[in-house]
Amino acid sequence: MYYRPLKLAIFFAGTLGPSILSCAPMAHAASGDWQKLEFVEARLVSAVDGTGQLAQIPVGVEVVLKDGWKTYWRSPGDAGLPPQIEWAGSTNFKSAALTYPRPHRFTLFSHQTFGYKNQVVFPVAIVPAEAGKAVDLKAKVDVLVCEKICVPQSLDLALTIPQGAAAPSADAQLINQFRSLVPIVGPASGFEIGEVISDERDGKHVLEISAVRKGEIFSSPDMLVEMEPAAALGEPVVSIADGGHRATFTLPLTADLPPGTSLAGRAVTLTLIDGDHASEYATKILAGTGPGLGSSLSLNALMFAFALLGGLVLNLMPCVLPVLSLKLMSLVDHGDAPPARVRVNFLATAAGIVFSLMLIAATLIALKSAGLSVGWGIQFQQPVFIAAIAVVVALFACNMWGFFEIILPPALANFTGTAGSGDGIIGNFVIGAFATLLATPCSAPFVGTAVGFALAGGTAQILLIFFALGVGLALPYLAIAAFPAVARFIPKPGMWMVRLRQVLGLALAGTAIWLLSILPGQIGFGGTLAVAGLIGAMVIALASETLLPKIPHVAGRTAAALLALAAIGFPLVAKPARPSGALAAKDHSSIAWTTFDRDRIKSLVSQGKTVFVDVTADWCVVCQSNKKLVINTDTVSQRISAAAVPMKADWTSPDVKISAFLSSFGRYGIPLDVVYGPGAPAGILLPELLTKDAVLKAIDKASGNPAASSLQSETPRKDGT
Amino acid sequence: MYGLFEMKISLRPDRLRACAAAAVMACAIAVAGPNSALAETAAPVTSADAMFAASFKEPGGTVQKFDHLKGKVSVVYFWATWCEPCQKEAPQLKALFEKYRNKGLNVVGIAMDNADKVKEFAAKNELTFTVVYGGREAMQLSKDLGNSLGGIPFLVVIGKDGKIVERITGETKDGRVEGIITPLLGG
Repeated sequence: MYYRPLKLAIFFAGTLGPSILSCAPMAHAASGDWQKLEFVEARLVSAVDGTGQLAQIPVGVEVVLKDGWKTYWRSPGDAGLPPQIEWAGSTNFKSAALTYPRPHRFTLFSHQTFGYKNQVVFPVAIVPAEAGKAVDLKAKVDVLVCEKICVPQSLDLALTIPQGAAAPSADAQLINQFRSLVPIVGPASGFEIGEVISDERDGKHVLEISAVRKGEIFSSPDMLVEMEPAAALGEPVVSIADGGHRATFTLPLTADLPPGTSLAGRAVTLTLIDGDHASEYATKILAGTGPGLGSSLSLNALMFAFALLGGLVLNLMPCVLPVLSLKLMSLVDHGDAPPARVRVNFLATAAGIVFSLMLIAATLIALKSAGLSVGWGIQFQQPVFIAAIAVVVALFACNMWGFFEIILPPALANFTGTAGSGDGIIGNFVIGAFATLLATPCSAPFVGTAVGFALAGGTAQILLIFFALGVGLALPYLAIAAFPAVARFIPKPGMWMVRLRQVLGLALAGTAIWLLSILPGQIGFGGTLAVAGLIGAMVIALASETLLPKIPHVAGRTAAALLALAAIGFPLVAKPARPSGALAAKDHSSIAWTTFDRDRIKSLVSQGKTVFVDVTADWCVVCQSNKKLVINTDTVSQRISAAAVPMKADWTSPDVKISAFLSSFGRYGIPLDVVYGPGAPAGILLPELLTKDAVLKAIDKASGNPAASSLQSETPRKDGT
Repeated sequence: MYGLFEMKISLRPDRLRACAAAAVMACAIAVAGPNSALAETAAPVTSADAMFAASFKEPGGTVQKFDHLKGKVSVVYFWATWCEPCQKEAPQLKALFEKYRNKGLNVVGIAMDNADKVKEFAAKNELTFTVVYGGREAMQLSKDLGNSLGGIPFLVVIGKDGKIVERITGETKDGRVEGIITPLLGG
């Protein structure tokens, strides 16, 4: 049976309202006798003491279950049977409309069932054959009750509603209580349910439904889907957004669809439940157009383009730029080389880039399948890695300065060449791999989005996106490989080349110093000084070859090799500078940062406070630039200090809680900045490259004070700052 | 003003199926009687003659008789697709049947359900033992074999002598049925 709950609600209000005002004598038969069985008992109850002149009489079937037992909703789910009521034998009876209060979801061995425990009243509207006369009801109620066993139970109930005023009975409140739990259709429910999209996620069929709760925020929403023909659906994954007002339900299909069939076009009845509030909406399933990781070709293509572009932009980031200098030098060195040679060299570098990105992708896939946290640039959380890279960069600088050349046997040199000299296939390949490694602590626009998409997806997505990143990063080299003639425009070799080498060597030394500047956060200032000293000594040992010709090459190189090993090994024995996730000892900021605590965010927001969360790391170049250009500027830092609780999550060293926080936003790399507040309990995610405007607006929106936005952002301008 | 209430009767196919299943259940109850759980005070049934005299349809339509179970060790299992606890039992019975079928064990699943549902469930779980279905006759048979509560899952072990060796209402503990049938098959 199907009905209009809203109209029924109006009916109840209309029925009972005038009756309360009447002073008719009370009738006595508001409820029938209990019928008691072993696991269940039931009776008929009436909301009125008399039939009055009612066209429809509000009654209810009250079912009380023994502890632990349950009975079922109209669509019981993977098991169970709906209640059946027959009114045969009733007199002055025309029809009855049964309604169902919102059920609870029960999950047992992955089976989903919907029903009721303890007590339920099914409201029923009885239409008498003749209004104004007594109604004699006989109901045969069949219910299935289950606990560890299922027992079909049949109960014969009876109730007489006498002629007389339709005054509210002693049970009116009980019926109305359950009547208020019957899902409401339309805007009066306070919910707005969107379209139902059938899509694929990771190769699995899902239904995606979004809903908005007006005025209030969602607390623990659930979505029940009835469809024709029926399909088995699992428990929904719910994500809340828009400050708690929007919920998106993703329901997995738990049984395969027959081949060639689709959910699209099927009629569905949706029941949205949030606590005691429920809404019902009938619609049809639409074919997926959304971001399906498994199937959406267009999204994969878009992310591929993002990764390509992001890879290209990475070349301009400070971490990769020094590598470009290496290649620039090789171009200078080979200005007169035949085009075919230039082409091979640059193709080798491009291959090195793509190969090492695929290697990173494979590592990430392995880590992910082992259940470990993954991310872009996570190797920079390991001080040993940083020290090793600093050593290699310092070696390249030494090579640029001419402190040492690696001389290989001619036959081998023809093929392999020397890393950094720009000669040979393997040397160029290694430079490509090196460029990739240096690129990883840098997130450029598009890179974060593409990598986040890849890491949230499957193996195919990770490989595809990392391949695109590699091709993007390799594009400048591929361009020269395509047009090797550009090498001819380089002036003839001369003294300028020596100077250029010195300048580029300085750029590399700068990179090494930047790398070392990350270390204090991980192994302390003393430890960093030790590593820097060892690397410095290594440089001196190599320089001794050139500067002090009397010292044998072997002695200098042996000393340099030992110093390099000591520099790389030192972080292994050094003590961690601070517990992971704790605040950096020193921060050049006027903001009084507090340590990241996810649980505290919720309690602060519930107290009406705004929280600004900055996830950062010493090795994250974009984070540092965000700090310098946006967060630590007077306008923004004052606003953060005045209007928000500043919270810093330091990801310089591995931290499971921070990794989990990142992945809750679908991000696997940093920077990540989020503003929480009463106006945005679910958080406002800021762009990777922060702008002052974005931060200020987010703080205002989160604090629930949009008017303050213009005021605050304009004040500094008036001051001329 | 009371005309605002509007009743619609929509015979949606999924609900129709549910109604059909409920009708089966109602028939079962009609035979069992509403107070059967309380009224069951008779001495325990020891003979499985009611089982040997029964016949039910397989989901494919073939009528199965059970007189051939006489003189054999049999496990008779009453269940339904609407019974949540039953869904866990069926795969366990399948494993038991496959382990002991060569030693002469018979397993019969009697579903209080309709043909389509039973067919779908048997195919999905790749049940290899005999599966039949029935409405009130199935419930009546379970009562004749001593199902005092009228609840399912309900399982009966019948010995070679045609006597009921054990009846279990509800979930069977791992190995319990196997522990009962092993000596019966050996003897």
